[in-house]
Amino acid sequence: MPDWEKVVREQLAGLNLGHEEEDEVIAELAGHLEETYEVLRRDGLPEREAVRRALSQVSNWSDLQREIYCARAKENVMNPRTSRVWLPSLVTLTASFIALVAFGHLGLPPGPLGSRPHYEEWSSHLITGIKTGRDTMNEYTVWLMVLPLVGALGAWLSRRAGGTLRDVVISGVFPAVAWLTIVLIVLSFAASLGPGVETLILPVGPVGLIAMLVLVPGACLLLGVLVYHAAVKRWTRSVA
Amino acid sequence: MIGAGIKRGTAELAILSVLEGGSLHGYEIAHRIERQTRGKLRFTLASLYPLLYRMEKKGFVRGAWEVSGNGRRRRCYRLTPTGKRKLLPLRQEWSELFQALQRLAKVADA
Repeated sequence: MPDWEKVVREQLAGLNLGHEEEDEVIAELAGHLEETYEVLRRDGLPEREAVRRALSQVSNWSDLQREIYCARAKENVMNPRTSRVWLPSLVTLTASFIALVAFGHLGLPPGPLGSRPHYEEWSSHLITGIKTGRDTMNEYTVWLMVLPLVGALGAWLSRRAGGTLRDVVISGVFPAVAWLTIVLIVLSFAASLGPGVETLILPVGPVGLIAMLVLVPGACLLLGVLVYHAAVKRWTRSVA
Repeated sequence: MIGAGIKRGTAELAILSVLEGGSLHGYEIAHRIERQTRGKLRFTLASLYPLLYRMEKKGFVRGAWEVSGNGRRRRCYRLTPTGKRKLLPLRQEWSELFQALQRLAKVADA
């Protein structure tokens, strides 16, 4: 027989009701599952099938967690959309930005693609890098390698707050959306100033810029989200 | 089979009704409702507890930990005076609704 309290505790890991109240809810739900399981066993079902049927009472633990939280919390300090989408998105955006700035400031040792150990400001460095296409490649590559972790962080925060798969994906890839907005604004601004200013973003050009700052980072963030999602799914199946 | 919307509306009434007979823990509440409605109303863990907690928050029921005969700790729910007061008008409302629907069905059949 499974340790029902452990199963429920793991599934409702982000309930956030306070220790005592959370323990009460977990004990109560575990008791219900245990009783269901025992009745099924008495009816002659094999252990595996009895466990499966008992757990089938909950099709979506995230939904249950959210409903229990709404029903039991004294007051909702944050609306669900904020905690499931906006807050995790803000965290991923900040984390991706900090990583970019940190790698720019720290300066990485010269790598196979070539990098300068000292720079001025990260923004001018980045623009220089985009202009030359090669200058900041090392930092850029490391940044890309960190982004899956950032995406997974957003996904974890969103799921912890009871987010759906859609919320989880949005939270994870949000920095790419923010970068796209910034790039579009910069491109429109540059276009409005005339053809001379456009050379600032050359030789990568608008498409290259979008690819470097939106598509490739977006794919890295999404990779982190998908790996996290697959790991959670696999883990949930193994618990069941 | 009764549709999900109607079920949601009747769920509170069902819980209050079975608790009228005395205190019960969650599993017993679900089991008794299923038995008394001959399987037409069925509560799973996921549908029962959020509703019970909401009803507790509204003050219709009160849960307290009790130790059963086999030494198990169970959280048992009982009706509060507010819940008892709520039950009568709720029953009446649903009864009127079902009567109205029956009349409507008869007119449609005629």
